[in-house]
Amino acid sequence: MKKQIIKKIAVTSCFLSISCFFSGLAQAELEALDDDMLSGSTAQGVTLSGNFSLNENGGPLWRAPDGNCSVSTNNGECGTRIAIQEDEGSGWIILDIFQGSLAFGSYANSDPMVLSIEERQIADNPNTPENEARSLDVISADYEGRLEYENLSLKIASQPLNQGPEPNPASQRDLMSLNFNGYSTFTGNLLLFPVD
Amino acid sequence: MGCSQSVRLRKAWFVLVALCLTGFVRAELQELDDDDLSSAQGSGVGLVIEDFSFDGSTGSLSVGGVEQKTPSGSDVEVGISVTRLYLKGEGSRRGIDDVRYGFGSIENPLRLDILSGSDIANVPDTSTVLQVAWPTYQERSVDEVLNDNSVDLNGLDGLLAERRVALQDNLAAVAAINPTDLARWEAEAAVRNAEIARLNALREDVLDRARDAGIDIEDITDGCGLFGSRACRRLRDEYQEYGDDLQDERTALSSVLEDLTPARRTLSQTPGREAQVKSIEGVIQRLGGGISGADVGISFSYEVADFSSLASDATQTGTRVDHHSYDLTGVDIYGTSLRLFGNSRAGKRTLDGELDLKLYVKSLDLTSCDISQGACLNNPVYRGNRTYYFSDIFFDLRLGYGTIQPLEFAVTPEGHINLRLAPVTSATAADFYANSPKSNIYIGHVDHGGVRPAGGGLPSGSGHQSFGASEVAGLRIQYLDVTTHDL
Repeated sequence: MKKQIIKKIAVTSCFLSISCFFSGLAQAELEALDDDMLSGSTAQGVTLSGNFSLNENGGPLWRAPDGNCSVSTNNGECGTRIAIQEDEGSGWIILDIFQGSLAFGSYANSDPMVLSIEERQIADNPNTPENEARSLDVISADYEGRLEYENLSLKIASQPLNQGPEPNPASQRDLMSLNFNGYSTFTGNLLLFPVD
Repeated sequence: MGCSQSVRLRKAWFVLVALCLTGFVRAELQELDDDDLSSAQGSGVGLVIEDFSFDGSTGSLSVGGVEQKTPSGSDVEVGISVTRLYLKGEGSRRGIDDVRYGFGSIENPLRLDILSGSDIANVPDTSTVLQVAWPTYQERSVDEVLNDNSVDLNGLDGLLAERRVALQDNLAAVAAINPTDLARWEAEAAVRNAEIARLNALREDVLDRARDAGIDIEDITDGCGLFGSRACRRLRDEYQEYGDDLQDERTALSSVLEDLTPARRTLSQTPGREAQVKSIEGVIQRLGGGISGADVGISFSYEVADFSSLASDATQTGTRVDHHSYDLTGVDIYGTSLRLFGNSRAGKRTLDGELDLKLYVKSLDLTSCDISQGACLNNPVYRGNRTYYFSDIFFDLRLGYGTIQPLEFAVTPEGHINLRLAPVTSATAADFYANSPKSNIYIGHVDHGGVRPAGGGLPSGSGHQSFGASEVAGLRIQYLDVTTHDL
């Protein structure tokens, strides 16, 4: 039980650190706007660069008898573990040893990602009622550059019901593991908006 | 794999992005009065991807966990690495050119909606349904697209014409069935069947009486012999009389069935043929939408250990590297919906689903040599002889039908991964056969060898062989249970 709590904290703290990281970056781009400018502006953006690290050097985890999970003593086999039971009384599907790092923007020798609220025209349609809006504010994320991976890996596995979500090398069935290294080029603009 | 991973990651960022942006969004907000508020129905989220391209060929992705059995019985890990991986716009020439891919539009996005089970047929009223709906392309009618010469339909117009004729023939045959005749045949068949059942029961009754009287059953069925008792002969006569009547009834029934069976078959063919025509019309509407699909490709190399023989004391002679490449062009998922809902089975709460997948792929090339170098790269004929070409593929796949036959993805209590469509039971059969949707799969051309022209089209040239078209039409899965096993 205690172990589980520690794990949960590990996962949460990892996400917290990422979002804190983001807000730090975001603030660096901000300039104070006076009220006139604020009411007149229709779109603002932030630029983002980031480097996600998930238990890159191991975490407070299970396989090491002494709790030490450094790369040298345990082949680095310590990463975030997510166990999901999607039916009551079924076994567990597990994403295990999720670790490594993923960088984008200036951390990957590229321009940062641009996040903004954009106003987009809605294509004319004869069926659109007269009073319907002709444009829509959307959240846009625009990126053109590299994604750099360093030992970004995860394992997909399953485990019987009676073993619980706890790691147990004897009963866990590893299906496959993936390991990313190097970089890939990634370009795209993703729009997100509410729909009726 | 890595590519969809990134797409997913990108989606995940969006949650963060939305959180980060809340501060800015506030500046855009205006107070809504009660009237505005009550008319707001924004229930879902729309997603659009523009200008997308992903090329992972510069990175390395290795896949572990696949093992090879050696002759001595031990397991050796097979080294699998992904040497090429891309997702780009259509016309990228196997991912070489940086063509951008777009998906959906402001008016027609990918939608994520949370719906109430009470609004959806065959889903428990109390459950909440998560629905993912892909863009639909139905702005133009099928006929409009068929009459537009600028739309390349890759022979699907011919297929549609053929299937429409088949449907018309079927409908004509249905119309030719006189309802009065059909009702008379059905009624007569029912009467004859009942009479046959009654006579069979009467014969059983004669045999029972014979048993009670201590008479050998064979005497009744074959005759009582020269010295048979009076009781035996009486029962035998009765038995034979029923038998003669039974024979008459059977003859009458088979003569009714001569008319009834073809009529029943004709009637039962209609839904399947309608589904076929609808599937093809859907693809044609999608092609007429002027939307280009994606080019997707992945290459694997496998390091496999070679052994001197199959004997248990064989020694490893080296390592062989095998290559597989999959290159798809014009991939598009359209009009698809995935629903996930809470259900309960045997007193346990479960997560069930319903998938209506519509997928069109212009071409799929499956190559078994290393297309990044040597003859495989430089000699198209060499490569063609190691390539299977599939062209004009579409899937209209329906998996799951509400709570009658939900699509269940689960991990068994023993820890095995399980994909299941529940068997049809006598309680659900009527609904299932009357209403459950049918699947259609069509592959326009299967070819081996030859060279596919750079701009697309069918392969031809030295070594080319055509295997024609493949089609699965009107498929319903009555029962599916796929479970992983330990080896």
